[in-house]
Amino acid sequence: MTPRSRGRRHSRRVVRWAFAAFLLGWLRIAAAGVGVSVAEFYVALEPGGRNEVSFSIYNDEPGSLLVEVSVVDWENTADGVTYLRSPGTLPRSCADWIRISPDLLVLDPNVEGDVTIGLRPPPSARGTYWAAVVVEIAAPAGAVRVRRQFVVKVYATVGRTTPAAAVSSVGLNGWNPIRVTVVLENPGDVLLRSVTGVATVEDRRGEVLMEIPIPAFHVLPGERVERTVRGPWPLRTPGIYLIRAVFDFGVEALVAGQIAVRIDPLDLAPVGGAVGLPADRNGDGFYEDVNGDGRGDRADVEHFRAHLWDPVIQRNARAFDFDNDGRITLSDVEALERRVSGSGE
Amino acid sequence: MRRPGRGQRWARWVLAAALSAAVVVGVTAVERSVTVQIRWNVLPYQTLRVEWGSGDPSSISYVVRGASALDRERGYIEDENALRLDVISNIPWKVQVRAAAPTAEGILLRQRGGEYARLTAEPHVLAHGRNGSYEIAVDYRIPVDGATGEAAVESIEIVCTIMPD
Repeated sequence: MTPRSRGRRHSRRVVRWAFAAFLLGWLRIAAAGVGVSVAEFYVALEPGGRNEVSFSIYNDEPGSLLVEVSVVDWENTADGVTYLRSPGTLPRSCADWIRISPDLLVLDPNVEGDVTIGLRPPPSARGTYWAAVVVEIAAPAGAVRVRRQFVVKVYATVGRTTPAAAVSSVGLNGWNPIRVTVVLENPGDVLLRSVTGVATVEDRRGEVLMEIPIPAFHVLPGERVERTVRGPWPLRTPGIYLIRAVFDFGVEALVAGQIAVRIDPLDLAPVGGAVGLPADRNGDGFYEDVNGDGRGDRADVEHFRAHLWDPVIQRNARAFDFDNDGRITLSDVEALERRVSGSGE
Repeated sequence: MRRPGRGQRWARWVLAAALSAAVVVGVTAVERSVTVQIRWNVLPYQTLRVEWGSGDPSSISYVVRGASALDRERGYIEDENALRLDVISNIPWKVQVRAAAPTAEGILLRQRGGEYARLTAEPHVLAHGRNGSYEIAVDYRIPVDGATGEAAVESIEIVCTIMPD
């Protein structure tokens, strides 16, 4: 390492620590508790090189704490749960090249301890690898105890790599208000960090009717991430619409996917021998008066339950999709029940 | 036409010089008005405080209260606002909970206002949010042992994990 790069590295470290010190000071004012100064690291490395990062654990509680620090692998399930696994057991794990120091700390009240994470990838590594450092605070004795854990995620990107992304599906799965589900996949070997997007809905003349922002998210190499966003209002006017999702994943080009959807006019008829046509009594686009007797009440819930699979209901799904998931199922009966009892949305 | 006096000529020179200087300074200012690219990383931080409903910050363990007649009748002890989690994070976060050991059979937990979920050795998301400061109230239900009429579980260790979401 040259003196100049050493100097740069030193000044970066000074700035970083100054900022961390500011945050820690602010946090102490904001709330007592246990905290970590950095919850995620994005580390860039050259093949065969090494890097070192560090964070602080602080204790602003009245008692001393025994803190254990360890390295784990982690993975997310489709329903958003993160599982911690033994280190080095998952594909693209960097746990085996992480060294932490120290792995055990005793923190007295109002004291902070520093943990250093050293990374040294093998020469063959390319792209993004990940693992996590778990900070675990031992539970005190007692009948009901809480053991606290902080998961500090570490993403290590080795070498110069080109991000890649593809929109693998765009779908409409709710009409009132409109709900759009998009799947973005990462076929490359580098993390797509803080991907942002927007879903636009256009009519057949190309007029943009609404733009729905998609909050930022990460996509790990080889992963597919599904995001569902809600628009501000329903598409009630029959016609053909174009729904397009565009993502910015940090390179010059954007990536997009689109789908054309047709909203047919409602084709209502009395359901299951009811006296009248189903009706939307309050103009919200939902036909709560399923039996057409002029009221939205308990009798409609039972009528709806009894005739859930009636073709009139199924072919006019957008009028009866009370839970707005794009399908007519028993959960729509429950949603209607909440509506007529006044506890629904 | 009368020629301007020496004082007037001097004044014109001063004015011209001042204008020229203003133009030059302006041009220089325009030249110096460049876009400067500043890069910095905002460190993502997280803090978690756990407090039992008693409000005593020094106590982070808890004793299950005795079962009442109502608890015995319905088969569980319910304690609302039993636990409070204070979360501060400058990035999206989530808190997962799981039982440290499979002795927590039949215990249910929920974030206040949410739905109860069984506490097992498998983690589930108790709460999540975007950046900000959050106070999360947690309710729990512990089954009552039909034979003894008291809480069926004597000891529980809940693992509460906060992480970036």
